[in-house]
Order: sequence, then structure tokens, then C-alpha cells
Amino acid sequence: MTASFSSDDLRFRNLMLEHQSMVFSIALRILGDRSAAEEAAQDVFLELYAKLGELASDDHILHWLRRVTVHRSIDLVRRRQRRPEVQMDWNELPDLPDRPGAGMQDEPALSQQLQQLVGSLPPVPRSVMVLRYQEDMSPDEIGAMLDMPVATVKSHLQRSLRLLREKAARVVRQG
Amino acid sequence: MNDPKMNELEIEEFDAGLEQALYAAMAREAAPARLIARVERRRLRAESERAIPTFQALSTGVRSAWTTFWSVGAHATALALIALVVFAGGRVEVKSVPLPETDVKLTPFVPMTLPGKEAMGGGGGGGAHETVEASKGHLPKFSDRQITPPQIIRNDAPRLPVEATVVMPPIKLPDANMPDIGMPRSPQVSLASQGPGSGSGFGSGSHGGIGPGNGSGIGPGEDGGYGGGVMRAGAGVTPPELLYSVEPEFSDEARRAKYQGICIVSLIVDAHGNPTHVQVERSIGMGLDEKAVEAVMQYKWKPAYYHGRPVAVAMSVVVNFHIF
Repeated sequence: MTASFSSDDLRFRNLMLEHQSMVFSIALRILGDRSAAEEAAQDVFLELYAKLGELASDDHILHWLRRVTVHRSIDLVRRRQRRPEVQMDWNELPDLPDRPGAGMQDEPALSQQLQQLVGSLPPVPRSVMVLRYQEDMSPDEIGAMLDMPVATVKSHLQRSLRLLREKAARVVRQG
Repeated sequence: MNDPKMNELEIEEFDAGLEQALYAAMAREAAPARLIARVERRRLRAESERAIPTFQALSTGVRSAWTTFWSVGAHATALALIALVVFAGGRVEVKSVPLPETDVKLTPFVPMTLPGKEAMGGGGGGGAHETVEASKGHLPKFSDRQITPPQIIRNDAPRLPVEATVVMPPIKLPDANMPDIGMPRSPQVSLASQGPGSGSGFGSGSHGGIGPGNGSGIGPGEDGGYGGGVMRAGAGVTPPELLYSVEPEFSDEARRAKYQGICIVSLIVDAHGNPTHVQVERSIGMGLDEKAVEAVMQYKWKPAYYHGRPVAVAMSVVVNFHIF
């Protein structure tokens, strides 16, 4: 099969190798579900293959991948909220944020707590947070990508941080 | 909403720590190893499905000008072919062909055959209303037509003598060696007579022949004019149809002896369907022959036909005497 790959196929393969982690992580943070995130990542890459001819530069591709992944993930979250599914994957059930007993100083435990706190945000602020802290994008870039004013982006960030702070402080105090 | 227990400095420190923790928590995760393979598989499957021709390309806005060109061309060609068949090629004019009128004959079918000597008959008869039976004599000359019927010559010196003839084919018949014309088999030799018939000629018949018949020939039968016999069914002659018959009576002798059997009677059915010349052909005895003749004499037929004319035919009747 590999021998018959054209140059486009090779380029697509390299792009997947380069960006699969980013696409999968964005989808995972927004969706909070590994299998759904993988499904979304597959869809995004298939869409990328169809659009490969139109996307020339690597920057363009990166920008396009982030944008499409965020939008597809938000769409999936909203669709799931309209039609809630019964969660069947018991191993991937998120731990409750307020669960006592988890050591605050334990780094993986803190990271997990924070991830779950971010996951509890509404989809759009959650996406903003993901782009800000996972992809290290500036509010301007986030605003351009999500077609929203920079002020809105900043407002989302501040409100999310405040919410996290309150929840985190409560967790810390309980701990 | 801020925690009242935290002052601004504490909040900033906390946020900085929180942001650091967020950066660490939100680090990218490795994608599942199977992700690329699954994308490739789905892509190949989609390409193979796309290779199957579908009507998707015909949806509005998607199809190309080239597709439109071929589509319009194909439809126009099909419509032109249909129009060609409907308006030019497919029309079949039906011409009315006058059928020859068939003359339907409703008469019963009788095969037309040439008259044969055996099958044909005829006869003649005549007379001059005399009480005495026709005298014995020799037969007149046979001819195919008759101008003068045979008669007793009462004018010895006629102005225009014409020999008497009967309409007969040139055949030999038993004749009598007599000086005058008469009936060869007549027992009456004492008186010159033409017999009780009518229309000149000799005998008991009519129409200028010799014998008991009705015509210008000789013998029984009628209208034929030639030959001495009668026709038989077949060879163009339809058989007579029996219209009326009676059961024969038993004679006392036969009844006493409980005698039974058949008696064959020959007869001639004349042109009116009446039996004449009834004779016993095969005798049975014990007085039953007479009873058979008596019964057959009462029969009535629809006459036989030859060429659409009723004719006399000879036939046989089997009379069955049976004790039930």
C-alpha cells in the first residue's frame, strides 16, 4: 500500500503524524471522552485530506486544524447535550471534583482535578481555556480563530479562572 | 464572588500558580496509536465508495458543464428517436381490400359426377287412354331426341312421315320380333292398343314413352328418357329419407310358430317419395313376405335428388320380424 502512495498521501501522512497529538488533545479536553475525541480527530483529518489542495502553508494548516477541531468538538458537545447519552465507559468516568481524600500536593491528582474543572465549564469557555492553556494562544489569536471579539475572549478567560479559583480554593480548604 | 478571605496579592499569586498548574494539566496528550491507521482506512473506504457511480453528481450546483452537456445530448437523442418512431416510422396504413364475394350455396352438398350407365336410370311410358293393355310389338328406334312418339299408325300416307323414336342411348334391349311397334313383353296380341296411359306412346305411363314410366324413354322411371332402369343412391344421387314407416304385422302362422327373421324387400322410391315396384328380394316365408310388402307399401320418403331435381331411385328395405 505504501508504495502506491502519491505525494499528497505522503504529505497527509506526515501532517497527521505532526498534528495528531494536538487535534486529539483539543477534542479530548472539550469533549472529555477519549473515544469521542478519537472519532472527532478522525473526522477532522478526513476533512483535512479533502481540503489539502486548498491549504498551502503549514501555518495555514495548523490554524485550520485548530479551528475545525474546536468547532467540531463544540458541535459534538452541543449535540450530546441535546441528546444525552448514557455513559458506558466506566473506566473513563471523570472523578468528582469535590471528592475528598485526594492529596492536593500530588501533581497528577491536581492536574486531573483541573482538567475536570475545565471540563465542567460550558463548551465555549472550555474551548477558550483549552486554546489558551493547551495551545498557548494569545487572546487575539483565540478571538480570530473563534470569530469572537478579543474582549469576549478575555471575559471568558477571567470568568473561567475565577470559577476555577473558587472551586480550587474550596478543594484546597477541604483538603 | 471573590473569596473574602483572599486579598488582591493572594489572588494574583494564586492565579499565577493556577495558570502554571493549568499549563501543566492542559499539556497535549499523545493520540492513540491507531488514529492514523483508522483515518487511512476510512479514507480508502470513502474513495472506493466514491468510485461507484452515483447520482450524487447530478445534484444541483455540483454537476459540471460537461455532465450537463452529455445529459442534454442524451435526452435530446432519445426524444428525437421517439418522435421518429411515432411520427415517421411507426405509422402503418391499413388499406381496405375488397374480398371476393363468395357465392354461398345452402343446398346440401352432393358431389358432382358424370352420369354413369349403372348409376343412371330413367324411363318412359305412355298410352292413349285405352282400356286394353298395350299390344305387343317391337321397340321403336332409339334416338337422342323424340319428334314423334311411338304410336299405332292410323294414317297410312302422312304428308311428312317422321319415324317414331324413343329417347334412348344406343343400347341393346330384348326386343320382340313383331311387325308393329308395341311393348315387347306385352301378353296382349289380339288388339292393337297403345294402352291406358297418356301422352301417346305405349303402356300405362305418360309422356310418349313405352312402359309404365313417365317420360319419353322405355320402362319404369321418369323424366330421364333413356335407359330402362332407375337411379340408385350414390354417385351424385342423394338417398331418399324415410319420413313415415309402419311396423309390419305378423302372420297368424308365423305368430303361432314364433317365427322371426328378416325379409329384404326391393322397391323403387319415385320422385314423389312413394314406393313402387315393391318386390321381395329375400324371402322369409310363413306369409311374412306379403306382410313385409304390405308394410313397405305404406312407407313414405322424401325423394332422392339428383342435380337438385327429385328422381326415382331403386333401393332395398330390410324388414325385421321380431317377437319381443
